Amino acid sequence: MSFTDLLGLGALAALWVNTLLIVAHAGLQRGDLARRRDRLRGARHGRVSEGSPLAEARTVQVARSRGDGQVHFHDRGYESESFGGTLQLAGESLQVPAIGAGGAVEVWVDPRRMREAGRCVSPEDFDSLYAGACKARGAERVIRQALSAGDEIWLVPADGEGPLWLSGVDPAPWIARQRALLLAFMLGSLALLGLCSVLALWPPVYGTISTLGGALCLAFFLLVQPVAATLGERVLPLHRAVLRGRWSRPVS
Amino acid sequence: LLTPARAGYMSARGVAEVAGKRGGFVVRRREEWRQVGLVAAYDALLLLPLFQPAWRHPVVWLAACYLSFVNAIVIHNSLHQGVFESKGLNMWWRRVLSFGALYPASANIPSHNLVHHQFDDDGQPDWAEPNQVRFRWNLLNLIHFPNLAGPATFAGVQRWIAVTRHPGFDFQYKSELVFAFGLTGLCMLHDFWATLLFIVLPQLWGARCILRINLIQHDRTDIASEWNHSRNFVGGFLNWVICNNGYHTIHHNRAGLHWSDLPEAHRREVQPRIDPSLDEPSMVGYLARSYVLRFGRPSPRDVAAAEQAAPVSDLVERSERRRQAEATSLAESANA
Repeated sequence: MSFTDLLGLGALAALWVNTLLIVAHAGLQRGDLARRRDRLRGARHGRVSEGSPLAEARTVQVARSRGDGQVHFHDRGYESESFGGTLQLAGESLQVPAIGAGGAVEVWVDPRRMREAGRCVSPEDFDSLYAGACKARGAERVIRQALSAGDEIWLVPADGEGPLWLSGVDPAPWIARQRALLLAFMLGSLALLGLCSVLALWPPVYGTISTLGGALCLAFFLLVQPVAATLGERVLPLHRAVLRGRWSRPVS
Repeated sequence: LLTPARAGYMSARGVAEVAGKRGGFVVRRREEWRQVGLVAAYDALLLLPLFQPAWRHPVVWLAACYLSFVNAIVIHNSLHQGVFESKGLNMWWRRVLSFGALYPASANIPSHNLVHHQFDDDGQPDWAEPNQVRFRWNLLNLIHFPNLAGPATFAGVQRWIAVTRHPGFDFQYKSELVFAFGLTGLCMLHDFWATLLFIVLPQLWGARCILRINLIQHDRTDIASEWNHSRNFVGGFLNWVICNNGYHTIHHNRAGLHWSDLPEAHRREVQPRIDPSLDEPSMVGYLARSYVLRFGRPSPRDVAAAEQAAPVSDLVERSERRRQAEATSLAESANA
């Protein structure tokens, strides 16, 4: 076996180790979600009866533009706050305490509602932000979504595993979807790499099919990392869901 | 005499002088020839095995991997301060360096100079933040780190490009991308397997090792402190072969200092203020102790206590240092 052969096998082995680490990291993220799912055993479901609002999720953003008619938003921070109020849960009332931003509370709202709240609806909206966004320090804005009287709510009390958790979306199916997505990524990555490896080792090695396999292995290596990173952002808990976004000036 | 340049930042006049420099094809400081020589040797070791099969040898390959790491260090140094008097030559130098690393060298301006030096992406963590990795077996953290820091970095660079007013950055970045991938692609057309094994593997080795350095230099330090945010490797031989990049604390705080001035500045400013555990004599020793001879990750400790009893420094605030870094990068690239 020549040095080139050894190097090729070593490269393939390194690619497998690297992919297994990426898959294992996705496994850690599944584990985080499983621990959240386990907390749902103590969840209570009902409606907000008093409290306008009861709680709020905020995404602090900075808007920047290079003066090309577009504004790009960068998430600067995520905040949850409980203002206190009453919930109606299966015939009984429950008081929720006020807990300030930075305190032990997580507020989940539907990310679609957050994105909708951050949308540019008029040229005036755009213009009010654009001048500040063109400056070096950018322009700050806060996107808020509240849980108010009449809203459906899931409550998980504070325990050893985490703080008070107030959610305006049913957390169980959301967590199940993210876990399924991560599992699909883990299995899909391994299957795809297996296929690329078989092709790369297809006899005669260094022939046309084998070369195609080598090229696919390289492409796989370059693509699996950003895909995993994008997925990692997507499965973040909703109280710190990545929002970002971009505005173009709407037509009047 | 502590001039602005020696203090590690550029005055407005200094920035203007750099922006105004034109002409010449000589290096700004004679120490730069070491960097030029190392990169020339690296590129030769990448290309020779492609055209001369006799050079497809383990020693050549190992040397290429080592020099690839040096190439990434030269990227780091060159993006803080251009190597050549001629700005046009500096821009071509970046393209050559990009080929050696298989990523655009100019990515260092947002990712390293503007974000990493402040450990902060405008309220969000540094793209190379050590706590992204969290395996119990610490060696896996070292191996896996580039898989997270790499995509975070390039996604961050893309977001920065969308809003930067840095003149010509977009063009320069794309030209480096085209040069690096274009030249590598041409090599692949000539001989796919030789390129993959003797060019791409060393390229990726250097690019991923320079990302790992972020973990090695900052894991279990206190990034909120002014003098104990980084781990230094102060061995003489190591610093010769990596162009003094072992002196990391002083480099963070005074990014404008030339790499050849770092050892003296480290002794003068950092040593009185740093926890002794962050002044490592040997990188190999540290790697062996932290990642091979132990299973778990070391526990955090209060390293910042060391600077509280130390004399007050004239160090300016991080926000001001970021502004200066942006001004310097602008001056280096303007009117290229």
